[in-house]
Amino acid sequence: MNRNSEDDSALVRQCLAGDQAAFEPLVERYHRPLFNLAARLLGSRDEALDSTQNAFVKAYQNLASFDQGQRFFSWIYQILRNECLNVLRSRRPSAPLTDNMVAQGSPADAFDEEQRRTAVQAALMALPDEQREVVLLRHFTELSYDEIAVSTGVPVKTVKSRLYSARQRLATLLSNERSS
Amino acid sequence: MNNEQDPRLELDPDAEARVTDALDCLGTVEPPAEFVGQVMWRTKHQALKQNSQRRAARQTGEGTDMAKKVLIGVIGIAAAGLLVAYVFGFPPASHTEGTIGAAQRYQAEQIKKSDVTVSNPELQAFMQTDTFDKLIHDKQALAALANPEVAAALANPSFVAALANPNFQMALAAPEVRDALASPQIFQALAAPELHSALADPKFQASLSAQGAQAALAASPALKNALANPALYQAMMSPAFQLAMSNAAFQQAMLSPSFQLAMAAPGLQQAMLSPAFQLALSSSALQAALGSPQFVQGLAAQGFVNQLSLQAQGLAASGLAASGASESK
Repeated sequence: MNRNSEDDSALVRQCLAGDQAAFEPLVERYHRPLFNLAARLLGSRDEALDSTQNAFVKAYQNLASFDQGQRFFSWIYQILRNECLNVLRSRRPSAPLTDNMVAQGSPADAFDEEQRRTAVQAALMALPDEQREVVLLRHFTELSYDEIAVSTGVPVKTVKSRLYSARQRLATLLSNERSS
Repeated sequence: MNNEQDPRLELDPDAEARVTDALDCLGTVEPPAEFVGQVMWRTKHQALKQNSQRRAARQTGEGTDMAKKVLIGVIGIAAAGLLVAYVFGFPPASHTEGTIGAAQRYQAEQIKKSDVTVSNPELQAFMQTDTFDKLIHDKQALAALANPEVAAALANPSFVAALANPNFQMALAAPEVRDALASPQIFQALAAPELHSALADPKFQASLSAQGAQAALAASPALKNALANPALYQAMMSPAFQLAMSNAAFQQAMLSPSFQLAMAAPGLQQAMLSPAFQLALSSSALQAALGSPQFVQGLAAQGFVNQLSLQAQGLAASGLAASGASESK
C-alpha cells in the first residue's frame, strides 16, 4: 500500500471515530479524478456532478463497510460506478450525451481543440459502457489491471480484452472522423 | 501489481499513438469550486440528522415523547411544517430514501391533534387541514421537523405568509420544485433571510409556478446553485422577467443547459437586475431570439455575459433605461 492509501485509511478511521472533518481531505484528494471519470462516462457535466456528490455522500454513510486493505479510490469508484450505471439505465435513448464538456484551457486554437475534444468524447460515447469504463480507468487513473478488475468486478483477462477492443474501436472511429 | 499489457492485445504503434493522443486531448473537466464544500455540507447534515434521530429514539424509550414536543414547538414557531412535508415528499417520495432513510427506523408514538394547543387563528386553521393531518402521520416529515437545523431555517414569519399563498402552494405541489427544494444547494439557500423574503413575495411565487422554471430547476444543478444568489431571485421578481417566463420560447430556452449555465453566471445575474436588461427582456424580439439554440448558446459565453453586464450597468447609469421604458409605454 502506498502512502496515500495509508493516509486514506487513517482518515477513514478518524471519520469512523466521529471526526466528520476528516472526510474533507478525502473529498479534496479524489473529487477531481472521480468527477472526470463520471463526466467522461456519462458525457454530461451536470449528471457527473450529481453522481459524484452522491457517491461521496454514500461513501460517508457507509464508511464502516470500507475494507481498509483496499484502496479508498477503488472502493469509492465502485460507488460512483453504480451511480453512473443508474443514470445510464434511466437515460432516455434520445437524451443529449454532451453538454459543457469543454476542458479548461487557453482561448488560442480553442475552436479546433474543442472540435477535437467533442469528436473524441463522441467516439468514447459510441463505445459500449463497459469498454468505455476500462479505457477511462486505464488512461485517467493510476489503477493497475488488478485494481481495475476489482473495481469493475470482472477478471483481469476480461479487463485486458475489453481494453483492447475499446482501443481498437476508438482507433477506427477516430480515423473515420479524421478522414471525414 | 499487475500493470503489464499483453503484447498480443496491443494495437499497431500508429493506432496506439492516435488513441493515446486523442484521450490526452480530452484534458481535465474542472469540477465547480464549491464541490468540496457542498459534499461536506451534505455529510455534516447527514451526521446531524442521524444523531438527532438516535437521540429521539433514545428519548422515546425514556417515556418522554420529545419528538412530539419538538413538533409542537416547531408548529408554534411557524406552519413551516407544510413546506418541510413538501420538501421531503408528501406522500414520502421514493427517491428520498437514500437521504433520510434512517428516519424509517424512527419509532415515536403518533401525535394526535389534541396534543397540540395553539392560539394563533392561522395555525388553528392550518391544523384543520388534510395537510396537517397527513403531516402528523408522516414519520419522515416528523423526523425532519425534529432536526433543530431544519426548524431554525424555517422559523421565519415570511414562510407563514408564503404558505397561505395559493401560487406558492401550487409551485410546491410540482415535483420538480419539491425536488429542487430538497437539493443541498437550495436547502443551504433556505438559511438566507433574503430567500425567506423572496419566497413570501407573490411575484417570486408566480415565477416559481411557471412550467419552464420548474423543469429547468429539475434539470440543472447549476440553476439550483444560482438560486442561492440573491441577485437571481430579485430578478425573478421583476415584472419583465415574469412576462418573459410566460413566453413559450423563453420557457423552452430555460430547459437548455447553455441557458441554465448562463443564468448561473454572476455577470448575467447582475445584468438582470438592471432596468435596461429587464426592458430588453420584455421585448418580443428577444423572446423570439431566445427560442434559437444558437442564441442561447451564445448567451452562455463568458465574454458575452461580461459585455452584457457592462452594457446594462452603463445604460442604467446614463438613464437610457428610464427613457426606453417610457417610450415603450
